Amino acid sequence: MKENLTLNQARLLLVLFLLGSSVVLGINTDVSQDSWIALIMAIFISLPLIIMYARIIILHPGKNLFDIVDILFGKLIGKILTILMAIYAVILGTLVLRNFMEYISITTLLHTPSILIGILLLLVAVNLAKSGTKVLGGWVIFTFFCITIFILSTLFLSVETFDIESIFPIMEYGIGDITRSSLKIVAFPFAEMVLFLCIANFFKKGDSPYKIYLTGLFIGGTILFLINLRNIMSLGIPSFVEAYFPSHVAARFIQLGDFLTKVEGVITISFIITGITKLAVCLLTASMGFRYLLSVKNYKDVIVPTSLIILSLSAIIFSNIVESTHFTKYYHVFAIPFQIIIPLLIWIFSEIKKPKKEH
Amino acid sequence: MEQVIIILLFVFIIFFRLLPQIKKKNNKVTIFFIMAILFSFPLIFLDSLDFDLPSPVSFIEFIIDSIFKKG
Repeated sequence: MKENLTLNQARLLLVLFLLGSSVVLGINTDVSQDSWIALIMAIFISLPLIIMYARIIILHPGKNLFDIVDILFGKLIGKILTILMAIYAVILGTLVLRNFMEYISITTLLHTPSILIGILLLLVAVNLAKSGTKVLGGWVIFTFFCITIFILSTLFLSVETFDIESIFPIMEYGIGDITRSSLKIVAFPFAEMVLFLCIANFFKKGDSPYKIYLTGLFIGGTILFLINLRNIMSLGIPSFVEAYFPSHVAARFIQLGDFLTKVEGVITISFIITGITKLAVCLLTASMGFRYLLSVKNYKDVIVPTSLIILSLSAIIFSNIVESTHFTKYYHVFAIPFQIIIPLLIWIFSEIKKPKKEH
Repeated sequence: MEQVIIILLFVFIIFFRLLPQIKKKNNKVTIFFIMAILFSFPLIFLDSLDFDLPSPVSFIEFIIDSIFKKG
């Protein structure tokens, strides 16, 4: 039986995917107190990309990116593009897993070897990806509401730590710097939604991809905006820029009288849930890619070997969190072919070939 | 301890995930599975022994640096 995500499940999956690691690591802070402006700009800059992704799905209903490249470019180029997208999904999954391994190692389980944390996180993600879209959809609906409640409650509880002066002076950085920062925010996390093209066959045929992508972008963007503003006002600029996990640090300041302290434990759990969801999507996407390359009937058969590749790469990809932060300077350049060039090629070829098909 | 858990993980994967695929005569999946194990086990095991292994990210950084001629 064909598995499908409902419109709401697809939207919320997109939101959780967006929040994924960006809720832990925070968005780009190159323009410090102006980063909220950069975030708003990034949402608008992402719009053409998102519309392009949705348009590709509209032009090829019921098909995913791997089917589409096969139809448009033939077997050879189709396989090359499939390999590239599968590699991107593996690398993104690796980065997500490693960031969460570091996050848990640094904040919670100080003496536990990070590889064991990685194994446990991956076990959950593998199970989620193997359970099929029905379970994934149910998981998304349930976790989204829990996470929204956690995030909103920490936002309200940290109001007394806010220092409104932290967001001033507004536009201290020039428009050029803010635009550069917003382009980095587009690459991480907004344009990472390109991976949803690879699982577009899980969307219901009648559901509008525009609705899925645009509402996902605006809900995810709004939550990230609120978190970012909270972090700036709660931490102050020096700590906001320097902290590796700004949301976690901000949650540590929350104190309601003498009876509600150390809220960061709850926050950690909600962050891990978003991380697992993003990891499951990366795993699902990479497995779909390998399935097409190997001409295997069921993508579920290749999920475990794919997860082993992700686990091994996450062990060697960074030595520590400093190296991870250093890579964020390169990530937006690295992601251009996968987030812009390949989808653009697919879109142009789809538009060119569409009238011929109709004729 | 870390190494024991890694070995146990791979033993578990071989017995409960790889062997069923071999029994099903799912050849392509079996080959992919064996290649994934051969690729990942040495990396994870050597990393747990604190070997300094080359990172794929440093390779990406090197390529981007050489294209854009950054320091």
